[in-house]
Amino acid sequence: MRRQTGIPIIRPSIYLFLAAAITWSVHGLVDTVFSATGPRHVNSIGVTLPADALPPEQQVLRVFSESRPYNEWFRTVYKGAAGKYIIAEPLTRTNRDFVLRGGAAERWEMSDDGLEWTFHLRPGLQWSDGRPLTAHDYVFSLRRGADPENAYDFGWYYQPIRNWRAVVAREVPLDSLGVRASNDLTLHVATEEPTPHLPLLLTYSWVSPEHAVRKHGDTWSTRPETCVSSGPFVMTEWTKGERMVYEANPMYRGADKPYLQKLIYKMFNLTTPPPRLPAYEAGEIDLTEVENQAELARLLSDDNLSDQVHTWPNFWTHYLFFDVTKPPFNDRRVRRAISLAIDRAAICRSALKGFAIPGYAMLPPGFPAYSGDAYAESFGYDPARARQLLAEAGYPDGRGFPELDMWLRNEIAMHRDAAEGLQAMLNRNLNVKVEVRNVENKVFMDGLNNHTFTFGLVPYEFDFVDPSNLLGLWRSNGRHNWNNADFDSLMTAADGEVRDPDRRIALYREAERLLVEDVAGVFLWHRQRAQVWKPYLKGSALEPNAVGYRSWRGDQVMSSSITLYLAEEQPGLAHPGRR
Amino acid sequence: MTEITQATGGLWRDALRRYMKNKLSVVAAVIIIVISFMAIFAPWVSPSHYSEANFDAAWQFPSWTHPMGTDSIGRDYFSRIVYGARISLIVGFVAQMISLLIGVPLGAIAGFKGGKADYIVMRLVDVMSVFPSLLFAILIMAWLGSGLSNVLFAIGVTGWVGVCRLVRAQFLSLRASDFVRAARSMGASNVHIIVRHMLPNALSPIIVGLAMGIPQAIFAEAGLSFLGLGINPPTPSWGQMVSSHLPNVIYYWHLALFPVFMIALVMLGFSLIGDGLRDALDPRMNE
Repeated sequence: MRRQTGIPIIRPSIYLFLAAAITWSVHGLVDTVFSATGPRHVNSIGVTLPADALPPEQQVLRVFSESRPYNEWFRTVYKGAAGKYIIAEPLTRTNRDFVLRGGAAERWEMSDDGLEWTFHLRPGLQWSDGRPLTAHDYVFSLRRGADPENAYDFGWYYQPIRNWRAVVAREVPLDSLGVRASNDLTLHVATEEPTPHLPLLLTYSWVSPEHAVRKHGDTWSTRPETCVSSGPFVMTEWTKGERMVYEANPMYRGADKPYLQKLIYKMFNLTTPPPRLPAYEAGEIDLTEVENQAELARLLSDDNLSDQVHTWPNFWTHYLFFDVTKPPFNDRRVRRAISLAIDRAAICRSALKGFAIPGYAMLPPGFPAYSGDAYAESFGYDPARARQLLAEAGYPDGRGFPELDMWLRNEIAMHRDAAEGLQAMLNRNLNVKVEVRNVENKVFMDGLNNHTFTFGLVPYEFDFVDPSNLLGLWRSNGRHNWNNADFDSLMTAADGEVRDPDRRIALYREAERLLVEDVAGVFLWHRQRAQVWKPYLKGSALEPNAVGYRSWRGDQVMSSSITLYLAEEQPGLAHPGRR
Repeated sequence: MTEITQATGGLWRDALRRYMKNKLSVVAAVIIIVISFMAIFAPWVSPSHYSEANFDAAWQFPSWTHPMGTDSIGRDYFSRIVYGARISLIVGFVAQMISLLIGVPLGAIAGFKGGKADYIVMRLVDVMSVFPSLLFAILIMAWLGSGLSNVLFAIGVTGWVGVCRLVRAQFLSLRASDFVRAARSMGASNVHIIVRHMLPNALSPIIVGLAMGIPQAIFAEAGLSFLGLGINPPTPSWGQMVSSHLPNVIYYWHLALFPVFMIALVMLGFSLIGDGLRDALDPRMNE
C-alpha cells in the first residue's frame, strides 16, 4: 500500500496524549510558518496524516446514507446499511486500479487442478472486543451466506464455491459447503470448477463475527454495544433514522488503517430523499451524488461549484434484450436492424446528457477485454441499412411488424426519457410501433426470469472487475433465452483458464464478439456518474485511476474511506465551506 | 301551456344573465373555451407533433422557435402542452360522464324508491367513501394496467359517489313535493314521474356537480400519471410531464413550470365555472 505503516502500532497512551496536545497547541503556528515541512499530525490510531491534512479532530467526513435495518454483509446486502463495508475485513481487496491485493489474507495459492484455494491470513488480526479474527470466522460467514435459514439475498454470487447451490437448495447439509479452516490462519475454499477469479470474487467477504452472532442473534450489528468490528472503523452511534457514527477502530490490526477519525452517515428514507445539493452547499455534508441534468447544469453554471463536480465512467451497461425464440426476434436480421436504427450518440447528448457514453458491446471502456470500439461501425447508427435488413426479414417499411412493448424496470426519469428517445428512433427509422412500459421491480423480474417479455431495456452493473462477471450473464439458460453453445464453451474455457491471463482475455473477447455479432442484445450505453466533493477532500481514491474510474463507489471498494482525508484548502487560511 | 314554456325559457335566460354578471366566471369560461379550442385543433395549433424528437435541440429554454422550450429528447414543449390539453379535457368530460351514468340512476332509485333499495345503494356509497378515491383509482389501474381508456374507467367508477348522494337528496325532497303527488294521483308511471318531473328539477345541482367534478377528474388523471399509472408515453399528459421533470425544476424550470401552470389553470377555470353556475342556476338567487 501507498501509505506509511512503519509506526509502532501500540504506543503508550501518554505519548499519544502529549503528541496530540503539542500538535494541537502549535497547530496554528505550524500552519503559518512551516506549513509544508512542519511535523505531521498523527490520528488517534497512530496513523501519520499527510502534510497538508487538517488535525485529527477535524478529520470527520459527513455523507448522506439510506436508512436500512441491518449492517452485516452476510445477513443481507440490500437491507444492509452502508457501515457493513467498513466494520468488517474482507479476505482480499483491490487497489484503485482494480488490481487484487491482500485484505485479511496476506497471500493465497491455487491447487494444481485449480479446484482449491488456500488463503493464509495475516497473523494478529482481531475483533474490536479483543478476540482474535480467525479463518473460522470466514468459514462461519460463508456458511451463513449459504444457510437456507438465513435466506441470504446475495447468494447467487457465491455459486462457484463447491456445494453452494446444493446447500442453498437443502440437498446437502450446511457443513458440506466447500469452505474449511485447517487452523486459525489457514482457510481452504473449494470450487465446483476451476475459477481463476475466485480471489477477486472474495473481495466481497466482509466477515461476520461468529461469537457476536451466536450471542446476540441477527441484530448484533444494529447496536454499538454489540456491533464488534474487524474493519478499519467501529460503530459508536446509531440513532435510528437519523445518523450513524463510525470512528477509527483502535483495535484494528489490518493493513488499511484510515486517516479519517470519524465518519458520519446522515440517514434518510427513499420515500423522503434529503435535499442533497442544498445540504452540500450549506456545508452540512462533504460530498454527494449528482443525480440529474438540472443538478449538473446548475453546478456547472456556478463558478464556485463547477470545479467541485467530478464525473467518471461507471462499469454499467444498459441494453435491449429480446425473446430470441419467437418471431420477430428469432431472426438475427431483425435484431440487427433494431441495433442499426438506434443513434446511441444522440441519446447520450440528449436524454442522458452528461450521464452516459455510447456503448456497442457488453464490456464498458476500461474493463479488461474491452473491445466495444470495434463494433461501433458495423452495429452503430445506419438507418438505411436497418430498413434494408428489416425488409429482407419480411417487414418492408415496418409493414406486418407487431407492435412492441418495451419493458423497463422501475426506471428513473432520465432512463424513461431515453426509452422514449429509443421509441421515437424505432418509429422514425423502421416505422415500428413501441409502447414504453415502466413497471415495478417485482413485475419486471417475474417477466424477465420467466421470459414472458419479448423486448425490454435493462441495466447490468458490475460486481467485480473481471469479464466473467459481465459476460457470465449471457450464458445459456441464464437471464435471457439467447442460448449459444459456442459462447458457452468459450466462456467455460476462459473462466477455467487458470495459467495464461492473456489467453483468458482473448477468449473473453472472442465470446463477446459472438454476443455482439449475433445481436443477443443491443448494447446501448454505459453510465457515467457525477459527484460533488468539497475542495478540501483529498486522497488517492479520489484521483482518476489507470482507466479513468474513481474508486469511490459507496464504501465498497473501500480505498476511498481508507485513503480519504480532509486537507487545508490553502495552508493557514480558514475554511469557509466547513462548519 | 304557453306560460310554462315562457317560464322555462325565462329560467335559462335568467341563469345566463346572472352568470354573465359574475366576471370571474366569465373569464374562467373564456379560458376553458380557449383551452378546449387548443385541444380540439391541436394539430393546427402546435408547431410540431408531440412525439417528434430532435435530439440535437434537447434541453432548450423558451425561445421564439420553441415558446416553452424543449424537453430532454428535443421535443417541442409547447406542442406537448397543447396535446396534453386533449388528454386532460377528455379525462375531465368522459370520466364525469361515466360518473353520471352510474351515479344518477343509482341516486334516483335510492331517492325515489327508498326502503331496501335506498339501504343497499347507500351502503355501497358508504363502502366507496371509506377509501380515498385516488387510492381506489390506483388499485384499479394497478389491476388493469396503464392506458387512456383504463384511466377513464378508473376515475369514472370511483367518482360517482358524490353525484349519487346529490341526486338521492334531491329526489328525497322532490318525492314529497306537491307536483309529484299530483302526477302520481293522476296515475303517472314511476318512470314518467322520474324522467318528466323529478329529473328536470334536480338538473341544476347535477350540472353544478358536473362542473365541480371535472377538475377533480383532471387532477386525478394528473395524479395517476404522476405516479406512472396513467397515460402511456409518448402521449403527453400534464401530470406525467410534471412527474418526469419535477427534479429538473432547479435549473430547467420550464419543464416543470408549464404543465403545473396548465393543470392549475384548468382546475381553477372549471371550479370558477362551477361556482358561477351554482349561483346562476339557483332561482332563489334572484337579485
